[in-house]
Amino acid sequence: MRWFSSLFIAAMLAMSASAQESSGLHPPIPLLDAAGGNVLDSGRPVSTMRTCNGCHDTAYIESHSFHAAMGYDERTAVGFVEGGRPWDFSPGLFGRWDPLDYRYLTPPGDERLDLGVADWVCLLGARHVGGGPARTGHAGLPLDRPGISSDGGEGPDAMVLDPETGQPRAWDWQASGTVEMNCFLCHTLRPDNEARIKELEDGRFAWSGTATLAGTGIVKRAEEGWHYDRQQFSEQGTVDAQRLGLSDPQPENCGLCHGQVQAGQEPLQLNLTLAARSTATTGRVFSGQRMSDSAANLADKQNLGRAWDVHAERLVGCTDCHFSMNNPAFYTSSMAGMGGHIDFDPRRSSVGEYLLRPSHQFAKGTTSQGTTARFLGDTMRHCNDCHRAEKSHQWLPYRESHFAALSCEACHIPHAAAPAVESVDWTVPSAKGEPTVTWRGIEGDVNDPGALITGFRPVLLPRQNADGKTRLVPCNLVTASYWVDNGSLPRPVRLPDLEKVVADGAADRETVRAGLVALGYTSPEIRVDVQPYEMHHGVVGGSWATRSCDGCHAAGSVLNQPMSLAASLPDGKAPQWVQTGTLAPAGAWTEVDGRPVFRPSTLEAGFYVLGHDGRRWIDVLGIAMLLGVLLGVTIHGGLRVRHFLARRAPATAEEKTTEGEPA
Amino acid sequence: MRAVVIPVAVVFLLIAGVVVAFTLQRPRPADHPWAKVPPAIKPTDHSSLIKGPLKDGPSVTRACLECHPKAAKELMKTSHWSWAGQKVKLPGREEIMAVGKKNLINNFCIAAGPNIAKCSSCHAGYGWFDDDFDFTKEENVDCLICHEQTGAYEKGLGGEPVEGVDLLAVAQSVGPTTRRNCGVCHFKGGGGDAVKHGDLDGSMYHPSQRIDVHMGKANLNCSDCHQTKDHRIPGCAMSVCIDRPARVYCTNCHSETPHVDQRVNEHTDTVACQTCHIPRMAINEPTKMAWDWSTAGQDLAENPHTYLKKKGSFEYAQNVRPEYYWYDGRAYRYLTGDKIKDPTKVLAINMPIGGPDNPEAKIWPFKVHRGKQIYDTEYMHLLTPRTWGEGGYWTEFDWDKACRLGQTPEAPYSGEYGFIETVMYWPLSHMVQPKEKALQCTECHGPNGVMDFKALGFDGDPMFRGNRRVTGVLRTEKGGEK
Amino acid sequence: MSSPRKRIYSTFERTWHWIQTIAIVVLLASGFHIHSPIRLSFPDLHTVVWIHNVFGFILIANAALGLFYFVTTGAIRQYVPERKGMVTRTAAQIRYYTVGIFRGEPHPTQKTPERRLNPLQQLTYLALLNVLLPLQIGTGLLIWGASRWPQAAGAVGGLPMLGAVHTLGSYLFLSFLIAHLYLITTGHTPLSNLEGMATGYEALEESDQAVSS
Repeated sequence: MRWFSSLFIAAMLAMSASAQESSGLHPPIPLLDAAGGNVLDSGRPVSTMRTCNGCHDTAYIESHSFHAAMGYDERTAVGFVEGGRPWDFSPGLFGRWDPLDYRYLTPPGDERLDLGVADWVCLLGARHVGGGPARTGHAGLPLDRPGISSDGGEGPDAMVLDPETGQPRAWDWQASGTVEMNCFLCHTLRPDNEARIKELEDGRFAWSGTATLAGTGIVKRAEEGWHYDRQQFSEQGTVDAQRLGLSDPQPENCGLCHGQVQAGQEPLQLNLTLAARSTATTGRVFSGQRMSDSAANLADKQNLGRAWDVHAERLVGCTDCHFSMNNPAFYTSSMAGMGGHIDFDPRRSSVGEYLLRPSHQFAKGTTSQGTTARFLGDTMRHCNDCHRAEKSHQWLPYRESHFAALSCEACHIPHAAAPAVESVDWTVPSAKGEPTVTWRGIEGDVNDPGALITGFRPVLLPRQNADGKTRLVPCNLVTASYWVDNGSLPRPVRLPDLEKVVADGAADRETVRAGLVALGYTSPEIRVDVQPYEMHHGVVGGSWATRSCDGCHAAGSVLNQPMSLAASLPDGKAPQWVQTGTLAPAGAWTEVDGRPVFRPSTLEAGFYVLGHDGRRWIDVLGIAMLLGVLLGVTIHGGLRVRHFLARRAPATAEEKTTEGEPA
Repeated sequence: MRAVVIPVAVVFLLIAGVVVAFTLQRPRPADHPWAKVPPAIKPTDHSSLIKGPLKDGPSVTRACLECHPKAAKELMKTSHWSWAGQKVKLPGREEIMAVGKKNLINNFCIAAGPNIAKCSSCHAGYGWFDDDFDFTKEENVDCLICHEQTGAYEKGLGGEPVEGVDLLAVAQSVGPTTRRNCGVCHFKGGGGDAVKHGDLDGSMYHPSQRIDVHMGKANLNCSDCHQTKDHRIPGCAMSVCIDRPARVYCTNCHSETPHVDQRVNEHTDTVACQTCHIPRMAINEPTKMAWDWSTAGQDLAENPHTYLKKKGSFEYAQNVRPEYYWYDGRAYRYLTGDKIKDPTKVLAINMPIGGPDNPEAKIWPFKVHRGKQIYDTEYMHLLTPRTWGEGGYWTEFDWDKACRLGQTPEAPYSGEYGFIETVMYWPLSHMVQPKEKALQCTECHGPNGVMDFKALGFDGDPMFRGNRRVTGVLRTEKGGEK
Repeated sequence: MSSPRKRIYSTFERTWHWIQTIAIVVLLASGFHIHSPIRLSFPDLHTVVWIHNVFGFILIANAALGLFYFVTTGAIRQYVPERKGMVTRTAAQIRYYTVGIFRGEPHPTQKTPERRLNPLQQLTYLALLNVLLPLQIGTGLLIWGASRWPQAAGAVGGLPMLGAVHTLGSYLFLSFLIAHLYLITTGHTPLSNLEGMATGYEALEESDQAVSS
């Protein structure tokens, strides 16, 4: 059965690949504005929802996309997000607070406004494809509807916090427009993400989609908005699909938000910023380039003859595993409800049907950090959907035991190639309102291209897998320290308030606390939490994976190597886990060389690692027994010798007539 | 006594059984390439064996032949002496003939024939000044060029030792050939270091591992791969060797499927080892990529890497990707006197034979040298001008005179000449890289790959479209299950 | 005092004993290395595990051969305590080790080719050969086979249980080994027992033989 399904997959893959090569299949299209007119006539921003709707059901796409909703459709009452913080109200970017961003999207009804929806778009829209709440806010009504400030009242849909006055003010949605789901960002070959982000930051939301096309030459920045270059359009007012660069989403498209991706031959330069988010949190780089060929200043670089990620090197792209849930070219072998006797379901929708209404829910796993779209958990292609590990691990002793206790990643991501964030401390921000961020895996400053990059060894934490088994997965730990006002509604202290306190001269935690109290916070307290980020990318092939028995089966086993949390924790506060998902970290917060660390324990996690985990009491008992025997033997032997000598002594004494028998 | 022997024997047999059973379970090391490397030849100290005085080259040879009476006869059968290969039926032609340096044209210095006194400084013989050279005279064989170890030996016109060489000291130093013996000619093909081959240059005398894994890491000598018997040195440069005689194959030492990854092994049916393991050529020293003779003779600013009045204009490149073509080990060859069909088209002086439908052919890496050289616009064939020496182009800068002096019965000169674009293909086999530096999937396949699969005759990237057997391009019997 | 030398151990018995000795010593050394590896680059864990497995099977094979030999030749009777007078003789032996030996008293149990083990030895070997050895062999086999037959190992608590029991067993074995080494010196002369096991012939306490019989 397997061979048949793999043949089928191969055939379908070939189909999709050829489609990707010949975007010539896509007809030329007119670019339409929100009113449905050709933008060449109106000069208004391109509306993707209108333009693409000619053939694709854009309303369906927007409503079937976590990338658009960002948790909007999974909102809960504040503080009721499973595993979340007490002020989270959704598992996604729209409602889940992230200490790496810090600013808090204020839910309706909150007394203190932090981020209104418009500010959320300005600040966090860079990592949102648009649509969903960027069009409808909390209320689910178009944000650019007339009179929003009256019917939206003083709520976060209508208001933003004025950075000058520190007071809420109304946002002019009519002028800014809203952000439509940006098809071009993922479906063109050279999207201009910087131009898009600039539009968002500057509050010209409606133009962000148009700006994404800046690299195609179709549009150029003008005094007001963007200008369309008629030369690039046909006489009928259409533009060629090839000029637009329409394409399947390539890894580079995904990388615009999901960390560093590079496909070309140019030497890779590491982008170590919080903006390259998944690289910052997990140290992953998705590139097929050999590390030794990159431009990064890597330790032991000349021996790093491997690619940053073996899948990227083998041309397995993001969408090969994270495919659209109704893409007929892919099937999910992890599909539940097959009754056990069916291995493969060949029935699927036609390509035409798919192209009309392609689901934009993408297959995914379940990571602790990816709390989003839980309903899609474990739909993606897993390692064992493609790999027959038992075939390639013939050399491995105790294969079954290893497979039962270890994720593939535990050995095949032995080392994070790039640095990742270790801690972010907002307790005393800089005058510019920036936190103190420490990175692991780099010797020196992260902004210094000459700093030596060592990468880091992930910490291995037990994780409950879909099959019910607990396996160790590699993780990075990010420690966040920040002020929380533990009033009736616990919220992180607003950044503008912190900045004000710092600007007023507060330079340590005590003075910051005093300043916050002066600003009306009743009981500001420092909270320290640790978010584990599971690592599933940056995979290495067999010859680079952990192979040595002694690595794990030894006293100094990597399995309980501590991972440092930060240079120090505020007031030596004990951290708490947050959003562990299916991870069940077992171990202890402790200190090594004065640094706070987490030291995992395999024994506590229910594993018994030969050569590493011993039952302490057995060793104690055994050694006590040994010592007892040795002691007994020594005493017994000593007495024998003494008595033997004593028995001989009288004879000797008689001869020498000097010494008596010893007492 | 038996009462003692039997139980003890049983016990030991049992233990031996356990040990053997466990030992068999352990993976055994595969056949190792080192097993195929010949043991180093112990040099014999010749300093007491050769007595002077030695007045000239042939007298050295006579001294050698006293103890090695067969050596000259053996060498005289090889192309190092004859500058022509064995007589074979030429691929794509009816003729049966021997071709070699002696009678072929290339797009570097064009032809050895009219300039032989100069060119023969790399000939393993003494006295080849003109057509009167006696190829049957044993004492004309030059033993020293391949065996002397002083480094002070130098050959000049006609292959004679230059003035001032201490022949006795040189002769007394002889030993097994070293990299330098080979490199002194083969690294300088085309008139200077690194010019011609792209994979052979002075950096190979003492290469680091970065340059060549065999010579840099494993410290092999040329003759460890070009394993010589009776002075017959296997190996084949496609320019002069157009059939498949005794070649040196990677598989002489390595397995046909040496990779751990089966998907990589699947490639070896279609892709030569060299393709992935020589990802770049001319790693350290720039090699000549193009040579335009038509611009010669002008008084322009001279630079040995861009323009010389004698030779015209050049292009050099260093550490570049080769070009990839099918090659089954045979080549078409332009022979002196062959007609040019269309002078507006690029003339291939040689060209690898092969294609996706040829089961023997594999994709190989090539240095492609593009030239523009003189031809007879009347007779429509390439001309063989005299460049060096009296009346040669390099002395008088007169093409007409050079062609008149250089013409041969096969390629006569009408008096009318022009310049035609030509191209030569040089398959690469040296400067081999280990797996850590070899081509990766993405370098050939996918949107950023350098391999032009359509031009190679595939209907698209075979990673997605299937290989040449799957797509029905190659339909040989053995292909059924492949 | 003249000491008649008698043949106590057959060639097979001695071969069996010394192979067992080598196997146990190697197993203890390699086992403790696996249990808590000393960080040496050589031998690596893989090799040590291999050695441990090989000698484990040597031990098993040797034990099986020994069992066969003792049963078929009837030598197994050496190990079976005689019920009659057991308590008295055991008490006498204990008294000997705690009191008599210091006073140079004769052994309460005379070592003869037919009965070379004293009651305490018989009890010890009964426990060692019937409980500890099978336990070590059993847990060892299950650990070795945990990958091939995970259900078998799982049925008795999996590696965490097997590993713990096996470790405890090896401590007991090591303790036995030390006591055994010491008790060798309590023969007729400190080296006579060792000599007996090495050559098969041993000098016995002649005069006392008359006393006890």
